[in-house]
Amino acid sequence: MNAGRSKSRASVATLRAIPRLALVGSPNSGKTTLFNALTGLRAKTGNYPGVTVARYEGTGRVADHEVVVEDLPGTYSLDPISPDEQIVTDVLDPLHDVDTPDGLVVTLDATTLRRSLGLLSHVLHTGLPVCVVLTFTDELTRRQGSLDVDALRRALGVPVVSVVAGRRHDLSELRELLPDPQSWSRPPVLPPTGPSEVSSWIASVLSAARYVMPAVDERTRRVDAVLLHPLWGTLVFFATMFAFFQVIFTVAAPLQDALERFFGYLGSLVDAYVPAGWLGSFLSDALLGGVGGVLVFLPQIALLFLLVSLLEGVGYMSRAAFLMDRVMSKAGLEGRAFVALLSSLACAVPGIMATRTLPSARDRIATMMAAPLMTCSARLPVYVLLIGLLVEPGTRLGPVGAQGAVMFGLYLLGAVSAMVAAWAFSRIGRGSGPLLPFYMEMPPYRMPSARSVALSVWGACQTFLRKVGKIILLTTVVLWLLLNLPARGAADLRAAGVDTRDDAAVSAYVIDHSYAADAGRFVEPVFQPLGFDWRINIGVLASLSAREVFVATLGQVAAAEDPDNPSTALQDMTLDEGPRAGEPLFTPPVLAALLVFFLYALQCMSTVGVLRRESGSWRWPAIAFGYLFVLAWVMALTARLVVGAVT
Amino acid sequence: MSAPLVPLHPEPVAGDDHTLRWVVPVGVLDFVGAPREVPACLQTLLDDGTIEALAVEPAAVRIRLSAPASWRVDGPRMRAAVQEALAVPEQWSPVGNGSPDEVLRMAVQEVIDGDVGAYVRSHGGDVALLEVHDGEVDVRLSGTCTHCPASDVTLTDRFETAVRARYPALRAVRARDDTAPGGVRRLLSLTPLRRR
Repeated sequence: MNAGRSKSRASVATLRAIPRLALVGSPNSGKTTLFNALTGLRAKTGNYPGVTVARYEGTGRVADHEVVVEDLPGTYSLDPISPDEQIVTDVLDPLHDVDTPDGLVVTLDATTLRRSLGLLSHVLHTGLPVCVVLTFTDELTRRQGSLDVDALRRALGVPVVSVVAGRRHDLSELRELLPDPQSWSRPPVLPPTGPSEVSSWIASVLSAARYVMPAVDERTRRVDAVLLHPLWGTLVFFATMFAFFQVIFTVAAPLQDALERFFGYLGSLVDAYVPAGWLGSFLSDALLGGVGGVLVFLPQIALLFLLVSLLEGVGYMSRAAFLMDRVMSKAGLEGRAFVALLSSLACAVPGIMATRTLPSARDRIATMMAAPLMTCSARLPVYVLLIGLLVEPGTRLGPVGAQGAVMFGLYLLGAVSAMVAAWAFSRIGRGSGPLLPFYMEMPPYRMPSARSVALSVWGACQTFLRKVGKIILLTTVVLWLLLNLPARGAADLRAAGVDTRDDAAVSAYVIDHSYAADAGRFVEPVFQPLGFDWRINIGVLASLSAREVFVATLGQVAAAEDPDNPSTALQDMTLDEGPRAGEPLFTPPVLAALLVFFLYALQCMSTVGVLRRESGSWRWPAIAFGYLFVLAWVMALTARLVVGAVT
Repeated sequence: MSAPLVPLHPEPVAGDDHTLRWVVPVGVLDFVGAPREVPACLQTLLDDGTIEALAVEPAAVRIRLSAPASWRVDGPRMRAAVQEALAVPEQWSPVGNGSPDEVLRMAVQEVIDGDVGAYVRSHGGDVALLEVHDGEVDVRLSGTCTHCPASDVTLTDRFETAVRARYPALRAVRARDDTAPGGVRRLLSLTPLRRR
């Protein structure tokens, strides 16, 4: 303890200008919302525990001072049982080589104060200055609880500020405190350490603060009676998810059309003003056909994240996790694993990072192996494109759109496969050890704050645009080069019998004999049984960097074949060689095989990278890549044969 | 260790670093003032001079440490001693007559010096203790309270509640008008409060 104090004093001396503060608190106690309010940053928040698993840092301006604020993962105690709780313990331990903060801001959920004070008693023992922020006091009042903040401040001996985290004007008192942690009052005697002494301390503090426990939220209780019901709850869950994908298709379609028209207009500008040649080909094929082809899916991405963050903010996702926990526990997995899988719906990278909440290393690996199977937002453009080719837009299955139904089926298949994979991997090697208890808080239903929903959607769009701007643009340019090299002179073309005045014929010839085509043909034996031709193969190969590149590749190929109308070109693409030459390329069996292939294959270098980092070696990423590729191939073949037999 | 411990936490005393009020539930100790006898674990600390003074308040034990000892260093040891001593309330006994009215008088004084008194004073009024007898309290409201229509509410809602929290056997709180000696301005019945 002494070492801790001297070290924190030393770091204050050097960092006098910018004090470092860390936010500590139970899961779902509003840390991240507070963090965002203090720093103006956009860390992701959700109304379910375990959203923050890594350390976030941001700088906030407070009056004339700057403070560095760090958001730590939620934890119920400082005796870590899982890797994310270990992070908190390491940061707070002055002997650990991680930088120790100058002060700790502890968020206490006023509605669960009795439990939260146990964490506070641990935190006070770190010897660092502590400031308490009471959150959800508005909800405490609404649920007929009460609390005397001044008396609580006296009883705890540390500053206590009540902040309804979403509201910015509540923050002024806190902002005054933050710049100078050394001035914060400290308790005269630290809380006890023994468990029964701690409960005696908590009981005494609560009675001094005249704490009245909040009544069970009546609204939440009534809604939960239905939503957590084993039968009705499950039905509502599937109905919600089904409606979810209907909305993504029907609402986003007009926006997507508008974007397509916009890129079409840009294409006509290029045709009109840029002389045909390599520059024109680069602009219209690579940029507009490739990158633009991916960009038109922005409305779907925005809509997906809007809906997910609404469901999260309201508190429905916790209920979904609870419902699924029943299923998962039958398979021998715990509910925390489902939370990680749920995060993978946005992207497998945060999903894999969320496995840090899992105490058992074996379960962690099992969940990591399953996370890439959850349908991430990168698959969305691929699915939308392929489903658009597979199912006519107007087709209806009874009252619902067929496109949305197919999409729902794909998400469902992904989720089920993920569960099965997680189950299988947790079985290998573990035997049937006892499950550690899983606590999942059912937060009361809350109105999601418009700000956090907007931040989540904006963040997702930004990530998508950044990905398009970097990795997809880069791959597309490389592909464009590969598709257009080796360069053909007019003599070559005439020698091959191509009419040099017909642009389409020229570009078709160039592509057919490009390096990319060679690569595509080289791997053809592998994908032949699935019905993929070399053009699809290039797309599949290129999509190893990121799945959306597949869309960009097909867009480029199509734009080269018919620059004015790439989507029709895709539809009318035919096999140009082999025994089935002349038949359409994208037949329903091939499309089904492609969809299923993308469902299973691990085509994402970011995921491989995070798997390597989280598991500590190349072994697990290699296993994941291998097993998912084999699975993808086998399932795609099955899909092709089944759909072929049906149609 | 299986029986739950008596709830206990320390609160600082403004302007006096050596003194802490160890807040204890009402009724654990049934007297106020300086104790004549305390359990051995506390007596040892009094004997070796660690504790300079110890007094029982209606809802706390006030302890002052003597100079070399400090709460920051000796706090855990002191907590353990107080916790242990509270487990055997029968080993405590008062110096004075320790009558219930004595406890009540101190409780009223605490309320007047504390939050409720501060609230009354913040509104330009004043409240003073006149007399305590047989569980009944006479106070004098003065200043802006004199003609304030809300002074009844303050007296029942805030003052009486606070006193009862420290002395549950309270029978009545009366506001006596000083200007007419002996005249009782109003007697507040207890019955409507019982619904709590």
